[in-house]
Amino acid sequence: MTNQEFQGVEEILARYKPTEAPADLLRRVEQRASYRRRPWRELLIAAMSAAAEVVLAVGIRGLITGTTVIVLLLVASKGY
Amino acid sequence: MTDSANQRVRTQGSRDTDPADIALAYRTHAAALYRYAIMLTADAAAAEDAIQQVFVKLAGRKGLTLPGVIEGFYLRRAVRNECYRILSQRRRESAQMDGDSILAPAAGGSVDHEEKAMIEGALRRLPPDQREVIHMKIYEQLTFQQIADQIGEPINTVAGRYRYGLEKLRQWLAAFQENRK
Repeated sequence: MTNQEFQGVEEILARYKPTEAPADLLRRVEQRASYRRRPWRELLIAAMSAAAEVVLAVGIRGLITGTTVIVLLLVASKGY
Repeated sequence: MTDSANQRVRTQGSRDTDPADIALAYRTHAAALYRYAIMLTADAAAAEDAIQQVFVKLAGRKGLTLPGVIEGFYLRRAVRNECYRILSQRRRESAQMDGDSILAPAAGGSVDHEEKAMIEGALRRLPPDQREVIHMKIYEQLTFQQIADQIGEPINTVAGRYRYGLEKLRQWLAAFQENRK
């Protein structure tokens, strides 16, 4: 490979540059660094999320059970 | 990278690293480190992961002093290690790269999209260590000696990687230009 060929490739590569970091990368880094400094915060969020799931599941189940009981009572009261 | 540069990273007791120091280190070095990481990994998501990991680990270190935190050599070495760790993990898991663009036009004006895509593809085909040296030589304009110091390899190895990398790129570019005619 000659020097001229080397320079040719270098010139083509020099027409471009590596892409820049996304603008919100610093925010994400700071967020993760802050979680790392305060691991309790991550635990708290995870616990709240788990609690919310349980409440939702119990609520839905209660709603279904309640509806079923009401329907059965209505059916029974009409003497069907 | 010189050993003395690494040795400048000092710790002082068990005091948490000051978040302001981390922010300063990020503002000073992150843009260049990201460009380095994206060329080394040839993958935008991997580059983001590497940068995040390094700065998050930095925040978790106890008592890192400002001269150590803002020391670019230290951060470069940390990002390099993280990039190679991610690449090795992806190889083990046979994970695909995200395919996002890794190059942008250096100056305004019209872009030859076909040529750009070809160069990106060619860079992705190169081994990471050759891409790394090409990046440091062409885009950071470092000398072979400076590159050798920073990555801790002999200068002949560095020059060899550059030469082999450019030779492969030349062949692929020649084939591309031939097919275009």
